Amino acid sequence: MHELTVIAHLVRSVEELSKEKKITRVHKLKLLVGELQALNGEALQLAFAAASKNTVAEEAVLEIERVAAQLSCEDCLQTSACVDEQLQCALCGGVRVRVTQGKELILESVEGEVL
Amino acid sequence: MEFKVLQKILAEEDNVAADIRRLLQKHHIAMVNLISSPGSGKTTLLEKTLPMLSKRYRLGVIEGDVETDRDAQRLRKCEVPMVLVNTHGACHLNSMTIFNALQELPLHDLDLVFIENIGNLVCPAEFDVGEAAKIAVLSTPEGDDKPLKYPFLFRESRLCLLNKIDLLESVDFNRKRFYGDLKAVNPLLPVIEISATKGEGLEQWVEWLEAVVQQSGFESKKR
Repeated sequence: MHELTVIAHLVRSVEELSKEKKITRVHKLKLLVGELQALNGEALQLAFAAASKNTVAEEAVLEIERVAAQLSCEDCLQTSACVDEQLQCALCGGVRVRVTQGKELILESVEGEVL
Repeated sequence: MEFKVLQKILAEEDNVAADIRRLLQKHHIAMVNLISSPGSGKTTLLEKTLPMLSKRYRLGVIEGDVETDRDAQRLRKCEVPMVLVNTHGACHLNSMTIFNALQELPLHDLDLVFIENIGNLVCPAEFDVGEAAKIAVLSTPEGDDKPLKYPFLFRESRLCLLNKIDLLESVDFNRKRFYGDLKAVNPLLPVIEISATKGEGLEQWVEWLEAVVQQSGFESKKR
Protein backbone atom coordinates (compact mmCIF):
# COMPACT_ATOMS: atom_id res chain seq x y z
CA MET A 1 0.00 0.00 0.00
CA HIS A 2 2.95 2.34 0.39
CA GLU A 3 3.02 2.38 -3.40
CA LEU A 4 0.35 5.05 -3.13
CA THR A 5 2.65 7.29 -1.08
CA VAL A 6 5.38 6.87 -3.65
CA ILE A 7 3.01 7.65 -6.50
CA ALA A 8 1.54 10.67 -4.72
CA HIS A 9 5.05 12.14 -4.54
CA LEU A 10 5.66 11.22 -8.17
CA VAL A 11 2.49 12.92 -9.40
CA ARG A 12 3.32 16.03 -7.42
CA SER A 13 6.80 16.18 -8.98
CA VAL A 14 5.33 15.75 -12.45
CA GLU A 15 2.82 18.53 -11.83
CA GLU A 16 5.57 20.86 -10.69
CA LEU A 17 7.74 20.02 -13.67
CA SER A 18 4.83 20.47 -16.08
CA LYS A 19 4.16 23.91 -14.69
CA GLU A 20 7.79 24.88 -14.99
CA LYS A 21 8.25 23.50 -18.51
CA LYS A 22 4.76 24.42 -19.68
CA ILE A 23 3.80 20.83 -20.44
CA THR A 24 0.08 20.70 -21.18
CA ARG A 25 -0.30 16.96 -21.43
CA VAL A 26 2.05 14.22 -20.27
CA HIS A 27 2.30 11.17 -22.53
CA LYS A 28 4.84 9.08 -20.74
CA LEU A 29 6.68 8.89 -17.44
CA LYS A 30 9.73 6.77 -16.97
CA LEU A 31 10.39 5.49 -13.51
CA LEU A 32 13.55 3.69 -12.37
CA VAL A 33 12.89 1.24 -9.57
CA GLY A 34 15.74 -0.69 -7.95
CA GLU A 35 15.32 -4.43 -7.65
CA LEU A 36 15.77 -4.19 -3.89
CA GLN A 37 12.85 -1.84 -3.46
CA ALA A 38 9.81 -3.62 -2.08
CA LEU A 39 7.50 -2.03 -4.61
CA ASN A 40 4.93 -3.97 -6.57
CA GLY A 41 4.61 -2.95 -10.21
CA GLU A 42 0.90 -3.65 -10.41
CA ALA A 43 0.21 -1.67 -7.24
CA LEU A 44 2.26 1.22 -8.64
CA GLN A 45 0.17 1.21 -11.83
CA LEU A 46 -3.07 1.05 -9.90
CA ALA A 47 -2.02 3.86 -7.62
CA PHE A 48 -0.91 5.91 -10.60
CA ALA A 49 -4.26 5.48 -12.33
CA ALA A 50 -5.98 6.79 -9.22
CA ALA A 51 -3.56 9.56 -8.27
CA SER A 52 -3.12 11.00 -11.76
CA LYS A 53 -6.87 11.66 -12.24
CA ASN A 54 -7.57 15.29 -13.03
CA THR A 55 -3.90 16.09 -13.38
CA VAL A 56 -1.75 16.81 -16.38
CA ALA A 57 -0.60 13.18 -16.24
CA GLU A 58 -4.08 11.68 -16.38
CA GLU A 59 -3.53 9.97 -19.72
CA ALA A 60 0.13 9.24 -19.31
CA VAL A 61 1.70 5.82 -19.53
CA LEU A 62 3.78 4.90 -16.53
CA GLU A 63 6.82 2.99 -17.69
CA ILE A 64 8.70 1.18 -14.97
CA GLU A 65 12.27 0.08 -15.49
CA ARG A 66 13.80 -2.20 -12.91
CA VAL A 67 17.42 -1.55 -11.99
CA ALA A 68 19.48 -4.64 -11.21
CA ALA A 69 21.04 -4.80 -7.77
CA GLN A 70 24.79 -4.59 -7.34
CA LEU A 71 27.08 -5.02 -4.39
CA SER A 72 30.53 -3.72 -3.69
CA CYS A 73 32.55 -6.04 -1.48
CA GLU A 74 34.94 -4.70 1.12
CA ASP A 75 36.80 -8.00 1.31
CA CYS A 76 37.67 -8.65 -2.34
CA LEU A 77 37.08 -5.01 -3.40
CA GLN A 78 35.07 -6.11 -6.42
CA THR A 79 31.61 -5.27 -7.62
CA SER A 80 29.19 -8.11 -8.29
CA ALA A 81 25.55 -8.72 -9.05
CA CYS A 82 23.34 -9.17 -6.01
CA VAL A 83 21.90 -12.68 -6.34
CA ASP A 84 18.46 -13.49 -4.91
CA GLU A 85 18.44 -10.25 -2.94
CA GLN A 86 21.13 -11.64 -0.65
CA LEU A 87 23.65 -9.31 0.92
CA GLN A 88 26.60 -11.51 0.12
CA CYS A 89 29.39 -11.09 -2.42
CA ALA A 90 28.78 -13.45 -5.33
CA LEU A 91 32.52 -13.62 -6.04
CA CYS A 92 34.18 -14.28 -2.68
CA GLY A 93 31.24 -14.94 -0.39
CA GLY A 94 32.16 -11.98 1.82
CA VAL A 95 29.40 -10.35 3.82
CA ARG A 96 30.94 -6.91 4.31
CA VAL A 97 29.11 -5.53 1.31
CA ARG A 98 27.59 -2.24 0.32
CA VAL A 99 24.59 -1.91 -1.99
CA THR A 100 25.82 0.26 -4.86
CA GLN A 101 22.84 -0.21 -7.13
CA GLY A 102 19.30 -1.51 -6.72
CA LYS A 103 17.71 0.92 -4.28
CA GLU A 104 16.79 3.52 -6.88
CA LEU A 105 13.44 5.22 -6.94
CA ILE A 106 13.88 7.86 -9.56
CA LEU A 107 11.75 9.78 -12.02
CA GLU A 108 14.00 9.52 -15.05
CA SER A 109 12.08 11.37 -17.70
CA VAL A 110 8.80 12.95 -18.67
CA GLU A 111 7.44 13.07 -22.21
CA GLY A 112 4.66 15.41 -23.13
CA GLU A 113 3.15 18.18 -25.22
CA VAL A 114 4.43 21.66 -24.70
CA LEU A 115 2.53 24.89 -25.24
CA MET B 1 9.04 16.48 -26.18
CA GLU B 2 11.08 14.55 -23.66
CA PHE B 3 12.52 16.00 -20.48
CA LYS B 4 15.27 14.29 -18.54
CA VAL B 5 14.46 14.67 -14.87
CA LEU B 6 16.47 12.18 -12.76
CA GLN B 7 14.81 13.20 -9.56
CA LYS B 8 14.53 11.05 -6.45
CA ILE B 9 10.85 10.48 -5.86
CA LEU B 10 11.02 10.34 -2.10
CA ALA B 11 13.42 13.30 -1.91
CA GLU B 12 10.96 15.27 0.22
CA GLU B 13 10.55 12.43 2.70
CA ASP B 14 14.31 11.96 2.80
CA ASN B 15 14.86 15.67 3.39
CA VAL B 16 12.53 15.61 6.38
CA ALA B 17 14.31 12.49 7.66
CA ALA B 18 17.59 14.40 7.42
CA ASP B 19 16.02 17.29 9.37
CA ILE B 20 14.95 14.82 12.05
CA ARG B 21 18.49 13.43 12.28
CA ARG B 22 19.88 16.94 12.77
CA LEU B 23 17.26 17.69 15.41
CA LEU B 24 18.01 14.49 17.30
CA GLN B 25 21.75 15.04 16.99
CA LYS B 26 21.43 18.52 18.43
CA HIS B 27 19.65 17.14 21.48
CA HIS B 28 21.75 13.95 21.64
CA ILE B 29 18.67 11.80 21.42
CA ALA B 30 18.70 8.24 20.11
CA MET B 31 15.55 7.13 18.27
CA VAL B 32 14.73 3.53 17.40
CA ASN B 33 11.92 2.33 15.16
CA LEU B 34 10.16 -0.92 16.09
CA ILE B 35 8.68 -2.68 13.08
CA SER B 36 6.69 -5.92 13.12
CA SER B 37 3.44 -7.63 12.18
CA PRO B 38 0.34 -6.91 14.25
CA GLY B 39 0.41 -9.08 17.36
CA SER B 40 4.11 -9.79 17.52
CA GLY B 41 4.34 -8.13 20.92
CA LYS B 42 5.71 -4.62 20.34
CA THR B 43 3.51 -3.01 22.97
CA THR B 44 4.20 -5.71 25.56
CA LEU B 45 7.89 -5.35 24.80
CA LEU B 46 7.69 -1.61 25.48
CA GLU B 47 5.68 -2.18 28.65
CA LYS B 48 8.57 -4.30 29.91
CA THR B 49 11.42 -2.26 28.47
CA LEU B 50 10.44 1.23 29.59
CA PRO B 51 10.61 0.49 33.36
CA MET B 52 13.99 -1.21 32.90
CA LEU B 53 15.50 1.94 31.39
CA SER B 54 13.54 4.78 32.96
CA LYS B 55 15.80 5.16 35.99
CA ARG B 56 18.89 5.74 33.88
CA TYR B 57 17.50 7.47 30.82
CA ARG B 58 14.77 9.92 29.94
CA LEU B 59 12.46 8.11 27.56
CA GLY B 60 9.79 9.05 25.03
CA VAL B 61 7.41 7.06 22.86
CA ILE B 62 5.78 7.76 19.52
CA GLU B 63 2.91 5.30 19.36
CA GLY B 64 1.59 4.60 15.87
CA ASP B 65 -1.75 2.95 15.40
CA VAL B 66 -4.14 2.83 12.49
CA GLU B 67 -7.07 3.48 14.84
CA THR B 68 -7.75 3.64 18.61
CA ASP B 69 -5.58 4.54 21.57
CA ARG B 70 -5.58 1.00 23.01
CA ASP B 71 -1.81 0.59 22.87
CA ALA B 72 -1.27 4.10 24.15
CA GLN B 73 -3.53 3.37 27.13
CA ARG B 74 -1.45 0.32 27.98
CA LEU B 75 1.75 2.35 27.86
CA ARG B 76 0.43 5.30 29.83
CA LYS B 77 1.05 3.33 33.01
CA CYS B 78 4.77 3.57 32.28
CA GLU B 79 4.56 7.34 32.77
CA VAL B 80 6.88 8.40 29.97
CA PRO B 81 6.08 11.23 27.54
CA MET B 82 4.12 9.76 24.67
CA VAL B 83 2.58 10.98 21.44
CA LEU B 84 -0.17 8.93 19.85
CA VAL B 85 -0.41 9.03 16.07
CA ASN B 86 -3.49 7.53 14.43
CA THR B 87 -2.90 7.09 10.72
CA HIS B 88 -6.56 6.28 9.91
CA GLY B 89 -5.78 3.63 7.38
CA ALA B 90 -2.26 4.54 6.32
CA CYS B 91 0.07 1.59 6.54
CA HIS B 92 3.18 3.30 7.88
CA LEU B 93 4.46 6.36 9.70
CA ASN B 94 6.24 8.78 7.40
CA SER B 95 8.95 11.27 8.22
CA MET B 96 6.67 14.31 8.37
CA THR B 97 4.45 12.56 10.90
CA ILE B 98 7.46 11.71 13.03
CA PHE B 99 8.81 15.24 12.73
CA ASN B 100 5.51 16.66 13.97
CA ALA B 101 5.25 14.08 16.74
CA LEU B 102 8.75 14.95 17.97
CA GLN B 103 7.69 18.58 18.35
CA GLU B 104 5.19 17.44 20.95
CA LEU B 105 7.83 15.67 23.02
CA PRO B 106 10.07 17.47 25.53
CA LEU B 107 13.22 17.25 23.40
CA HIS B 108 15.37 19.02 25.99
CA ASP B 109 14.52 16.32 28.42
CA LEU B 110 14.98 13.10 26.44
CA ASP B 111 17.69 10.52 25.79
CA LEU B 112 15.87 7.77 23.95
CA VAL B 113 12.72 7.74 21.83
CA PHE B 114 10.91 4.58 20.74
CA ILE B 115 8.70 4.56 17.67
CA GLU B 116 6.11 1.81 17.71
CA ASN B 117 5.32 1.66 14.03
CA ILE B 118 2.12 0.40 12.41
CA GLY B 119 1.89 -3.40 12.48
CA ASN B 120 3.11 -4.25 8.98
CA LEU B 121 6.25 -5.96 7.67
CA VAL B 122 6.37 -4.19 4.32
CA CYS B 123 5.61 -0.49 4.24
CA PRO B 124 7.27 0.85 7.42
CA ALA B 125 10.56 -0.68 6.32
CA GLU B 126 10.56 1.34 3.12
CA PHE B 127 10.59 4.79 4.72
CA ASP B 128 13.46 6.57 6.39
CA VAL B 129 12.09 8.51 9.35
CA GLY B 130 15.44 9.68 10.71
CA GLU B 131 15.82 6.87 13.21
CA ALA B 132 19.17 5.58 14.49
CA ALA B 133 18.03 2.03 13.87
CA LYS B 134 15.13 0.06 12.53
CA ILE B 135 14.43 -2.99 14.65
CA ALA B 136 12.59 -5.96 13.20
CA VAL B 137 10.46 -7.69 15.82
CA LEU B 138 9.36 -11.17 14.84
CA SER B 139 7.51 -13.64 17.04
CA THR B 140 7.81 -17.40 16.81
CA PRO B 141 4.09 -18.12 16.11
CA GLU B 142 4.39 -16.10 12.89
CA GLY B 143 6.67 -18.76 11.44
CA ASP B 144 10.31 -19.02 10.45
CA ASP B 145 9.77 -17.99 6.83
CA LYS B 146 9.52 -14.24 7.38
CA PRO B 147 13.11 -13.26 6.47
CA LEU B 148 12.70 -14.78 3.01
CA LYS B 149 9.18 -13.43 2.58
CA TYR B 150 9.99 -9.90 3.75
CA PRO B 151 13.68 -9.49 2.92
CA PHE B 152 13.42 -5.73 2.71
CA LEU B 153 12.74 -5.29 6.42
CA PHE B 154 15.49 -7.68 7.44
CA ARG B 155 17.95 -5.93 5.13
CA GLU B 156 17.13 -2.48 6.47
CA SER B 157 17.14 -3.41 10.16
CA ARG B 158 20.07 -3.16 12.52
CA LEU B 159 18.67 -5.68 14.98
CA CYS B 160 16.15 -8.50 14.94
CA LEU B 161 14.28 -9.40 18.10
CA LEU B 162 12.86 -12.91 18.04
CA ASN B 163 9.99 -12.63 20.50
CA LYS B 164 7.81 -15.28 22.18
CA ILE B 165 10.79 -17.60 22.35
CA ASP B 166 9.01 -19.27 25.30
CA LEU B 167 6.47 -20.63 22.80
CA LEU B 168 9.10 -22.22 20.58
CA GLU B 169 8.18 -25.77 21.54
CA SER B 170 4.47 -25.34 20.91
CA VAL B 171 4.54 -23.55 17.55
CA ASP B 172 5.77 -24.48 14.10
CA PHE B 173 9.01 -22.54 14.07
CA ASN B 174 12.20 -24.09 12.78
CA ARG B 175 14.99 -22.18 14.44
CA LYS B 176 17.70 -23.60 12.19
CA ARG B 177 15.81 -22.66 9.05
CA PHE B 178 15.15 -19.19 10.43
CA TYR B 179 18.82 -18.50 11.11
CA GLY B 180 19.83 -20.01 7.76
CA ASP B 181 17.38 -17.83 5.84
CA LEU B 182 18.26 -14.75 7.83
CA LYS B 183 21.94 -15.31 7.11
CA ALA B 184 21.16 -15.41 3.42
CA VAL B 185 19.17 -12.18 3.52
CA ASN B 186 21.41 -10.17 5.85
CA PRO B 187 24.43 -12.05 7.21
CA LEU B 188 25.41 -9.29 9.64
CA LEU B 189 22.04 -8.80 11.34
CA PRO B 190 22.27 -9.61 15.05
CA VAL B 191 19.38 -11.48 16.66
CA ILE B 192 18.32 -11.38 20.30
CA GLU B 193 15.88 -14.06 21.38
CA ILE B 194 13.44 -12.71 23.91
CA SER B 195 10.20 -13.37 25.68
CA ALA B 196 8.60 -10.04 26.47
CA THR B 197 6.07 -11.68 28.77
CA LYS B 198 8.51 -13.97 30.62
CA GLY B 199 11.47 -11.60 30.63
CA GLU B 200 13.93 -13.85 28.86
CA GLY B 201 16.59 -11.98 26.87
CA LEU B 202 15.42 -8.55 27.94
CA GLU B 203 18.69 -7.73 29.73
CA GLN B 204 20.58 -8.26 26.49
CA TRP B 205 18.07 -6.11 24.59
CA VAL B 206 18.44 -3.33 27.13
CA GLU B 207 22.24 -3.52 26.80
CA TRP B 208 21.89 -3.16 23.04
CA LEU B 209 19.72 -0.08 23.51
CA GLU B 210 22.17 1.42 25.97
CA ALA B 211 24.93 1.13 23.37
CA VAL B 212 22.73 3.03 20.89
CA VAL B 213 22.06 5.72 23.49
CA GLN B 214 25.79 6.05 24.19
CA GLN B 215 26.49 6.43 20.47
CA SER B 216 24.14 9.41 20.32
CA GLY B 217 26.37 11.41 22.64
CA PHE B 218 24.71 10.69 25.95
CA GLU B 219 27.96 11.20 27.88
CA SER B 220 28.48 14.68 26.52
CA LYS B 221 25.19 15.91 27.92
CA LYS B 222 25.18 18.42 30.70
CA ARG B 223 22.90 17.06 33.33
